[in-house]
Amino acid sequence: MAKKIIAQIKLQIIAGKANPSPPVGPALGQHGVNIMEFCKSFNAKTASQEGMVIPVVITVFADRSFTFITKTPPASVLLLKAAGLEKGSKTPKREKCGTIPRGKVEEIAKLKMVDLDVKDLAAAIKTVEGTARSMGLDVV
Amino acid sequence: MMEGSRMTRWKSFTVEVRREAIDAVTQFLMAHGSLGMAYDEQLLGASGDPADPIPPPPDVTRLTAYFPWDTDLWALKRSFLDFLPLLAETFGPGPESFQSAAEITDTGWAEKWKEHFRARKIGRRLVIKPSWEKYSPAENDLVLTVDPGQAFGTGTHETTRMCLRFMETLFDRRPFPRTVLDIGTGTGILGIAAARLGAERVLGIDTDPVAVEVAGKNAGLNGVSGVFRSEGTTLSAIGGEFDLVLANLIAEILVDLAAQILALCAPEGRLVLSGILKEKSGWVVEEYVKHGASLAEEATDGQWAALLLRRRN
Repeated sequence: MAKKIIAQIKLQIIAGKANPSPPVGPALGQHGVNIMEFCKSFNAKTASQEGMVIPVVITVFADRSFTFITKTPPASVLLLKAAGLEKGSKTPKREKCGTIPRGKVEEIAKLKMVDLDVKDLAAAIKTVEGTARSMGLDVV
Repeated sequence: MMEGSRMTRWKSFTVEVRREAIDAVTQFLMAHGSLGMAYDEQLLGASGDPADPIPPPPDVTRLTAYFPWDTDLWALKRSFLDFLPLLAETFGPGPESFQSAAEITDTGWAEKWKEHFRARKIGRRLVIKPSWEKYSPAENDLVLTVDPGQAFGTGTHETTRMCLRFMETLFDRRPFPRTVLDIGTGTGILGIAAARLGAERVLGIDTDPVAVEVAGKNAGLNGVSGVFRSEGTTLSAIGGEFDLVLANLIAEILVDLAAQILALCAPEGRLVLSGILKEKSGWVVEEYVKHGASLAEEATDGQWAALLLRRRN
């Protein structure tokens, strides 16, 4: 059947932990999506990445059915992992939390290429580098 | 989460951010205790061809992050404003800015979707109802229980309604179709309706494994598990011929699959084709006539057309 799309929503939520509270509730509730059904499927699909922030794109159709796709984790999550850190600096301007080798930044940029809205690898690297510095990681 | 401890109030914090900086801002907000965020919301409304691609998101997007109730929004705002120069330093001067902060209360989001579904009479006899609603059927009413979820087809869409009406007519006749194939079964609604209307053997197929599972569940809900079977097979893997073939797809796919679909329809058997935009119905009819069908009836509803065809010998 022709699936007429009425809305598309992007969320960043914790893998394996979706529940009807925000952001899922307000974002999907207003479009008439069966929220528990979304949470169940999302949690099942992302169970192996539990704890990681995952971007998810939800497409809602005219009959209120929906589909969703999960994307690669944000560059920041991959950077923290690569730097062996639990979390980034809360005040990155004043307080650095670590360093990350340039090679790792490139690796992450390559991995993120598919999901970043960039023209080429150089632009992807620039984005990932910016993300690293903005979270208190020095690129070395 | 325990039912009793479920929070009902949160705080939200909305900012504008350029695309390249979304991950950086996400990181900042998560480090400050955000529960998650929503962005790039695109409402496409009621207009538009289903084949139209979704327009690209804007270069500067609004991002709303949610926080636990005890979050100090003022401190968060100060912290965010303090963070902005660093963003400008790393990404160059940009549009990042604080937009708004708010307190929000659960208005029953988790149950809100149910408002969109009510028991509904589709044709002369068929009634479709969600599982949570009680419905007292009139004499001769045939009630189907279908819950919306990830699979498509709750019976409220024009394209589904027209199929169901054609089916009512076909099953009122003698002899009625005994074997039925439902191509792209979705929730299984058409196949299940066929089973309830009296078909003896119904096969629903779908390329989406979620649909196959949902259709199977819905068959159970409607007490037709013994008659309706859902499978993830492709058309070419199916053998035999069916008295009735149902295909609520889109015009382009119907035309592509014309020869295959007709080969699965028994001589003198019927085809119900739907999901066709009105202006494309002539094209679909032409292709099916070329492959050995004749048009018995055409129905239209809104911008949609549905076709009832007969396979010639």
